[in-house]
Amino acid sequence: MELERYRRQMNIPEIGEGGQRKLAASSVLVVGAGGLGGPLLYALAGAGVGRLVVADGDIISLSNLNRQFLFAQDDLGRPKAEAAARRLSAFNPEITVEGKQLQLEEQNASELLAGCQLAVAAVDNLPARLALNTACAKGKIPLVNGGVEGWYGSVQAVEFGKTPCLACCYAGTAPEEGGQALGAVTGAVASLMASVTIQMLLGHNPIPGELLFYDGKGMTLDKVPVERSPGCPVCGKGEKGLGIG
Amino acid sequence: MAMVRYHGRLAELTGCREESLEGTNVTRVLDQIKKRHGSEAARLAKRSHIIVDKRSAGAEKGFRTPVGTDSMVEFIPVCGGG
Repeated sequence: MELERYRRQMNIPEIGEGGQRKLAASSVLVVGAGGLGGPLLYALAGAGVGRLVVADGDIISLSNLNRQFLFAQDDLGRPKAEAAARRLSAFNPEITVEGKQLQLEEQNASELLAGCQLAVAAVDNLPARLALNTACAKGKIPLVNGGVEGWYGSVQAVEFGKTPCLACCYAGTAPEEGGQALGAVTGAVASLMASVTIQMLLGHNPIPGELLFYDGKGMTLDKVPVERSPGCPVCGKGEKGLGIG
Repeated sequence: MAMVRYHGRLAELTGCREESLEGTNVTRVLDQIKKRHGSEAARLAKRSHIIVDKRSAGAEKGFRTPVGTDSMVEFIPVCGGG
């Protein structure tokens, strides 16, 4: 590892050389390489996270390019996972980036998570987030979740058995109509997700039991406390629940 | 009366970040929002991530989740996109 590349972040007391080596030894699954996944992956690759597994089954289209900064005009029509892996490997050749051109499903989630210390949900729909949540719960793999809608975004850091999981939070809720996404907002939320991810890899959850809500119009950032739900169908004792912790 | 806190567009529509409203469950609180701020505010509130006393109403009893006089009810936009 060329430490010079990371010198400026190793000056941060909470990182230092020990933290940098910890990041280099880490593996993270990122599901979604779009508006959130792109800036997030750049931040994790730049920070020197040693292995990134990027899962995305989509093809790059013109309407992606307002916010998906991993891709350029001549990437149109290519698989996102493949283009992301190529771009990130060029950005930081010291790390390993594995592109997986597939949609996350319950059947393939365990295989994707193999060897990963943490997973990140950067997908564009609630069902995929909940599927990843269930897979992570089974392996007790921490999960960072982020989502956007128009000017707004939210971030959560799940430690199964300690904090509420995504099913505790989103069971029974209906997403907004969808389709609203601005690069300035997805970039801001992705940066928050990356900061949370890096801290969790270093052993510190900065938002335990809290939902971080970003309002990119009103320019506010709120922490909303959320508790585990005893009847949660995934981490609680609800129907089919795993009864974790 | 319960304390109700609005986030995002709902805070804009209602013109306030928080207010006190009566209601013994989430449905009753939504009725009060409609009465005070109109149908659009009530529609947005209903589609929000609703948290009653730190627990997601969706994982409790949904719109029948009880709300006490000293409860805190938060309405947060559901951010499912990426």
